[in-house]
Amino acid sequence: MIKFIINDRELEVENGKTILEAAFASGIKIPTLCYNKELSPYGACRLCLVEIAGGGRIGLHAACLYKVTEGLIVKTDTERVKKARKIVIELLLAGNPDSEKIKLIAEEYGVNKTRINLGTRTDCILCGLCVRVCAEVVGMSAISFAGRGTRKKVQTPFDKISDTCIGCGACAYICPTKAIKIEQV
Amino acid sequence: MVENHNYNPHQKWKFRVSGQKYNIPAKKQAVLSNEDTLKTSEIINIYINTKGALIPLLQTTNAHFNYLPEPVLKNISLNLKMPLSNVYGVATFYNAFSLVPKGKYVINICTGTACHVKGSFNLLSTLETTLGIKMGETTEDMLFTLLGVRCLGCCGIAPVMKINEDIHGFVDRKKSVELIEKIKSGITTSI
Amino acid sequence: MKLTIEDLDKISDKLKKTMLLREGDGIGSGIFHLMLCAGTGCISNKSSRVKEALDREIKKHGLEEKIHVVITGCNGFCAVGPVMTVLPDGIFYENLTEADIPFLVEEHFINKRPVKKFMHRQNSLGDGIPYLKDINFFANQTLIVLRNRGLIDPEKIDEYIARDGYKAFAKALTKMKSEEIINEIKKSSLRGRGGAGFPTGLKWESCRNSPGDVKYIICNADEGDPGAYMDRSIIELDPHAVLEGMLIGAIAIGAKEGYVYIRTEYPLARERLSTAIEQAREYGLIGENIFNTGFSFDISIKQGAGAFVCGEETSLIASIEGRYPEPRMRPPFPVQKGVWGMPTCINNVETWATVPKIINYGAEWFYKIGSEKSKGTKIFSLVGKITNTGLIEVPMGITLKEIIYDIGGGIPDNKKFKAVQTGGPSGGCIPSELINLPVDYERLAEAGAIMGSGGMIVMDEDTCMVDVAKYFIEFTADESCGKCTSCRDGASALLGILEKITRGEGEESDLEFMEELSHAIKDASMCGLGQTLPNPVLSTLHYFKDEYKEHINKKCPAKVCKALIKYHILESKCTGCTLCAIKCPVKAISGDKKQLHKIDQNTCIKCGMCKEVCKFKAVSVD
Repeated sequence: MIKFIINDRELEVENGKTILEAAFASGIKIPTLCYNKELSPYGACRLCLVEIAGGGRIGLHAACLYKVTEGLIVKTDTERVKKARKIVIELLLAGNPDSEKIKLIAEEYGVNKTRINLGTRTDCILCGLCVRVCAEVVGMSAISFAGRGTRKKVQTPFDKISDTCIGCGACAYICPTKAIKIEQV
Repeated sequence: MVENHNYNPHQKWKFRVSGQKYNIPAKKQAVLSNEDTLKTSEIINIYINTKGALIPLLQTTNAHFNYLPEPVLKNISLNLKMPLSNVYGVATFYNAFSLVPKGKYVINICTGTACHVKGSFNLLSTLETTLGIKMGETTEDMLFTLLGVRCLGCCGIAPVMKINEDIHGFVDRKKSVELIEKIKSGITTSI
Repeated sequence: MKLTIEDLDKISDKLKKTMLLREGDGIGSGIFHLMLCAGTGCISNKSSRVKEALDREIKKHGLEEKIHVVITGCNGFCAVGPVMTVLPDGIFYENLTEADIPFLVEEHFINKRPVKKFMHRQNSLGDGIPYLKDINFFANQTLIVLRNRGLIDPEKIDEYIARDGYKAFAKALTKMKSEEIINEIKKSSLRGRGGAGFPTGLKWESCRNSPGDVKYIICNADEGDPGAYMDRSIIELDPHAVLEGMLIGAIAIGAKEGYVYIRTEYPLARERLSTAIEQAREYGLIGENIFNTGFSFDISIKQGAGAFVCGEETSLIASIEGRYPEPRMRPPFPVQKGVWGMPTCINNVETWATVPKIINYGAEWFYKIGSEKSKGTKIFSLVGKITNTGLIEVPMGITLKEIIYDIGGGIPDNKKFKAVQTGGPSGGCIPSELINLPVDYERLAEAGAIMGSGGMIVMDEDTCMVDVAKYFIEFTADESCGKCTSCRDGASALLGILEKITRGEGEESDLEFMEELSHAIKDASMCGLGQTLPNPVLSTLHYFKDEYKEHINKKCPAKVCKALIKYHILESKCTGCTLCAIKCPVKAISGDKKQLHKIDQNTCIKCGMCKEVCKFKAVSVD
């Protein structure tokens, strides 16, 4: 067991747990979007940012990835966390203003509008849940990320009908913004 | 979610993300000749037992075919026992790989900082006008492909352009157009 | 043939005379070594043709016994290439062409008259300077990492050995314990030359102390910063120095295998490195049971494929393993869990090349060079709007002024110095007011820039700082792996605002918001790329806020941003020569012969071609 401090509370967790898992187990709320407890954590959405104030790598880190170590001091709701999280929410809203899930998170964390204009918008927020569920649960790896930077997408290879896709629909089910459609050909 | 209680392995499914632009499928499907298939196997056999074989494989095949044909990527995926989607993801991540055939002469305009402050963006627009294509495109006669490259590390002789493997330094708009004309008229560019 | 340690001395002895000659001993002996630069820059200026011409002329005069042409790595003075130094005298020739060679050989070697017209001039009126040591560009440098620059053929391992090569390795292997090596590096205060400046000794120590039998060493030669080519140059001119550094690191850390991850854009460097590895392997300097001590270490080359983010160490590891190269969170750090899941020590090319010198000449010697907290020398690529562009090595703590004016020869065309950008896309712009700033890790950070890997891009009054910020954000938006929302969409958002400002549509409130956005991107992103990508915006906002405000008022003072400028033809100067009208790519210029020409503002694409071609300076921009 490992002892650490989160929001001035001392907690004890099993070795190997992440900050997010520890926080959830003890009822501390941290927003997430690209996290699912059945899948490996990815850390892309940046909503679960927490501040490491001591005992580890000082700064803001994704709680879903950071493993608890002995004596770690974590704060989940500092001004710095709030500021960064607010901008992340604004960025997500800018790209996807109609998503119920994002709107809900925005409301909960006091963001009522975004000041950002990204020029384009896609419903996909590249959280990678679909890619992970297809690889880790379904075991087919029919889809993957393609490209990089602002041109990054989720695709089947060559954007073609995939030989490996079994049409299980897990990707569409898990997508937080309901961006994925699976159609029978 | 799609209702799919009766799993049929022959059933095909289309994966679509709303709001995402899609590649227009190429008119001609790339087909490998027997010779090319042999060559691909040859290349795969060189690397198959090395750790981290994917990148060297893509590099060698990309160099051989001047791009990465779809059947080659499928072949690599089968041989490395790696999902095609992973191979495809890596192939699309890097600038050095191309999924479409490139021209005989690949023109790289350096867009590094030193070249930028010395006006390489003007070179690019001049060549776009001269060749009638945009950056990243290939002329219809498959002679030229125009690309921007991050930094060739020849900042001391900026602005720089590279035609295939030959680097040209202190290039101005006049010199860049002259080089293109030289190639067109059949005088080689090699040093 | 596998060498013994004694063989190293034998090789040195055999070449002693040659090396002494090149160091300047033997003037008047009638033997000359012509050190011709064959770095990427000089090759592109056709130095290989110069080499052929030299060989031909020397043969013609029957001087093969006396004059030897030696191909060297990058000399550094790329602006005036191809360059050649005549040793032992040290006479420096520049801008040579194939056609110059018959005259040069005859004058210099037959008539014994060094040729003034191929010598360097410090200014347009000055006389040619015969000796390399008297040229400001070279005179103010301190060569430690580049100590073999222009003195050896990088493709000959014997010449490296003759310049104390592999001596440090032999010493480390036979006379030092691994703790002693690490202590020596720690004592020297060497810090990583790749960007962040992490203490090298500490990194080695934590890698050594990481549990596990299999450990790896990586040389990061994925020099991605645009405007920087230190690593390319080091590998091209002295590849064995990098290998020797890695060998010493391997002893210290306990690694059996190492990789050099090198950019695909550097074919010549890759070739020289692979030649060097082959030669070292043949001599038994890498491989199994080196010098019969039981120590084994092998090095192989891994080639990048054109992705800036792969310079980030976790992304680099993913790239070597053939995975989709997204960075991952640290901890665990590569020294704990690196390539193939094993402890891995990653250092930059320059860091590795520095190591043998510290082992050879001692930590105390190294510690004496440099400033209070930053020790040793640093190599910079001095490029952009500067007279002497090239690669320089200077002691830490030297001022910007010394670099830009004493070494760089100031700004060309009587333009005003405006700023210098250091640290690439992660760095910042230092304004002309801070020209006396000493260059070391701490002072650059205080000024809002970073040391980075050593790119130093000089900007003059014609450079628009908003455009520079936009340039870097465009770069990182495309080079980001696209994983973190904050980095991918954050860069897009910043770019959107910057584009708006350069179009003259910005508002005062945009500036404030950009700052807020920048700080959030820094805080929220996972890897170094995202955490530093707003730096060019923040530093230009800090030092050049007025210029941003001018753009908001629809003016670009440097006359770069196309939406904010107009080209005009001056009535007083136009002679009606029609040249501009012919050259205009969109036919926006009209006018009859010998009559005043006019630019149609609606068709003009503001490419500046008319201004470039006008011989009468009749085109003005406002």
